[in-house]
Amino acid sequence: MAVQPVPTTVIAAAKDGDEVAFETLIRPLLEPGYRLAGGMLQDHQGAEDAVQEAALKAWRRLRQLRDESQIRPWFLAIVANECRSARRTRWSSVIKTAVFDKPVEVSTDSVVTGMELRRSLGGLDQKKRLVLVLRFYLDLPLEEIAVITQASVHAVEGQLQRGVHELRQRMGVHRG
Amino acid sequence: MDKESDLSNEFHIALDAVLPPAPWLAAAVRQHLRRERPRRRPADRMALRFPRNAQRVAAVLLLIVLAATAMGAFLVAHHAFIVPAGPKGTIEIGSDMPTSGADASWGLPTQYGEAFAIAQAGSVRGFTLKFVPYDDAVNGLHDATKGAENVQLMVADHQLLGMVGPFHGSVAPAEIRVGNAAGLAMISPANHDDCLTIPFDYCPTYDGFTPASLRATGINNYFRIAAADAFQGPAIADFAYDTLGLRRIAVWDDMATFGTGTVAADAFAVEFVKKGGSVVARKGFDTSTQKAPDFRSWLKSAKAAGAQAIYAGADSRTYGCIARAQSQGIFPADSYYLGPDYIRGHNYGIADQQCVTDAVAMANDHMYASVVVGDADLNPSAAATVAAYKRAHPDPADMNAFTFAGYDAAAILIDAIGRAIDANGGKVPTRQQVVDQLAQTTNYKGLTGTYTFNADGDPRTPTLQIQQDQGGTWTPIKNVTVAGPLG
Repeated sequence: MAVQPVPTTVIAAAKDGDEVAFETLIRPLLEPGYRLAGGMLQDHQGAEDAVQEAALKAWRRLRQLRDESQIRPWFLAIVANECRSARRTRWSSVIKTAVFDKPVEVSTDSVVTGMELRRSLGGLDQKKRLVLVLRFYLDLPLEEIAVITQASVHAVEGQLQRGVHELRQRMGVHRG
Repeated sequence: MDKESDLSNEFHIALDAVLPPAPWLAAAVRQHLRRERPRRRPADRMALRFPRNAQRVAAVLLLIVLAATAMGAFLVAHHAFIVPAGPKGTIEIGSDMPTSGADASWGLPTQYGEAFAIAQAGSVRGFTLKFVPYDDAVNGLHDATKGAENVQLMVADHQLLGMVGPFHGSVAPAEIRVGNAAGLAMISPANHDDCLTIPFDYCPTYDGFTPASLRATGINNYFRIAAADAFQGPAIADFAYDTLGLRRIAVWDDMATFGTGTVAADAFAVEFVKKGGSVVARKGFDTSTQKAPDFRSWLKSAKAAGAQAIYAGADSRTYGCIARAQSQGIFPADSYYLGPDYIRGHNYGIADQQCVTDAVAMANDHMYASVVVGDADLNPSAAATVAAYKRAHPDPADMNAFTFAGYDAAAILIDAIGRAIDANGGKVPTRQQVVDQLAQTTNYKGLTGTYTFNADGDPRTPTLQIQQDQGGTWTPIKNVTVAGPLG
C-alpha cells in the first residue's frame, strides 16, 4: 500500500476550511479506512458508517494534525476509534454479522477457512484485532501501525505475536 | 509465527468475502460531510469563539432569552405537546449490478446513478435512506447464481424494502423467482428481454420461462424502466417517419425469432405502416450460416420497388451491417439504414465498432439504432441533475447509457416507498405495500422519461433513444416515446 505524498498546500487549504481541498485529501484514505473498518466490524454497512463518521471527525479535527506526512495513520486511528464506538452498541455486534457469512452449503476449503478466520478474529480483543487487521489485511509496516495504535514498534511486534497465536488457537478450536 | 504472506492471503480471502467494493463511498462521504458538517469553516469557528467573559455572558443571556421566547410561543401554540424531531429510522434500498471485473463498466456507472439518487433524496417521510449495493459478477462476469444469492441476502435484511436491478437479462429470471417469493419490490433500469414481462409464444422454447413461471405467487413484484425489445421497432419506425420523413422502406430480418430479429422487424413494419408509410420489400435471411448471406439481389429489388431506406431486424452477429456494405452501388451512400440496439455490436456501448467495421465504405452518419432507455442529456428538464451528477463524477467512465436510468429506477422506488409509508399511517410499510405502490406509479417524470407501469411491470409509454453513427461513435440524438404494441 504505497503512500503518495500530499502537497502541503492542499493540507493547508483544507485546514483553512476549503471543503474541496479536504475532499481531495480524504479521498485516497477512504478505501484503507473502509478496509480497516470492515476488518474490525466484519460488516460492510457498519464499515461505511464508520468511515463516514471518521471523515466528519477528521474534518472537525484537521487542525490537530501536526505532522502532515502522517495523515494516513492519523485518519486510520480515527477510523479505529469509530469502530470501537460502533462495537460498543449491541445492535452492531448482534445483528450485522449473520447476514454476510455465505451459506454453509458453499463449503469449499477457502470459504470454510475464511469463515473460521472471521469468527476467530471477531473473538479477539480489540487491540489484538486492530494490529492483526492493520498488518495482514491493510499490509501496513510496523512503524505505521505503531503510530496508529500509539504504541512502540516493539510493543506492536509483541501484540502481533500474541494475536497470531491466539487467532490460530481459536481457529483450531473451531475446527474441532 | 506463521509466514506473514500466507496469513496475509488468508486475511484477504476471508475479509474480502464480506467486504464488497465500495466505489460509491467517496460520494457517500461527500454527501455525509455536506449534510453534517457545520456551515462555517473551521477557521471561521475559531474566530467566533468568545475570548472575553463579557461577550460570553452576553451570548449566553441572549441564547436563554431566545430559547425561552421560542419555547413559550411553541407551548402556547401546541398545547405543550412536544414531538421529538429527527429521523424515524432507516429504510434500505438494495441494488444488484455487476460491479467488478470486465462487467463493471456496465454495472458501476449504473450503480453510481442509483447511489446519486438515493444520496440526493437522503430520506423519505422522515426515514433515513441507506443504499445497500451488491455485486453479481463472478470473475468479472455477471452471474445468475450470484445474483440470486444477493437477492436472498437482501430478503434476509428486514430494513431493506426494495431493490434496483438486475442489469443483465440473463440474471433477471433467477432473481425474480427469489424476489417474488419474498414479495420484494424490484425495478430494473436495464433489462429489455421481452419474456421477463411479456408472454410471447417463443418464450418457453427460446428462454425456457414465461413471465408467469417466474412469479410463483401470481403477484407481480418486478418492474422495469428500460423498454422491452418489442418496443424497439416501433420507436425507430416513428423516428423514420416523423423525423427522417421516410415513406417507403424495405425490411429484412435475421430469422431469429426473438426480440432483436423477427419480432423487431415485424413490430417496425406494423408501426411504420400505421403511421402511413409503406413497406415495399420484406424478407428473412438465414443468418445461421458461417458465411454472410448475399443480400444484393434483394437490395436491388427493394431499390426498384422505391425503397428510400432499409430496416434490419438483426444484430452484429447476424450480419446486421453486412447488408449495409452490400448496398454500395445499389443505394446511395446517403440513404438511411436503421436497426435495433445490438446491430451496433455486442458490447452495447458507444465504442461498439462491429457495425461500423462491417459497413465498410457505407458506414456513415445515415445509420441509426434504437437503444432501450431515454437519454437524459436530451431532456432539458433533466439538465440540473445531470450537471450535478457530472460535477460529482467528472470521470467520463462513471457514466454510460444506463446511468440515469439507474437514477430514475432508484427515484421511482423511493417515491413508491414514500407513498407506502403514507398508506401505512407514517410507519415503516410492508414489502407488499411497497410493491403495491410501485405498481401504481403514474406519470412519474424522470430524467429519462415519464413512467406509468402496466400490469406486467413495463412502462406504459417507454422512452427510447435513437443513436447515430457519428464518425464511428454511436451518439444519442433523439428520444422517442412510444405507446408500444402492448400499451
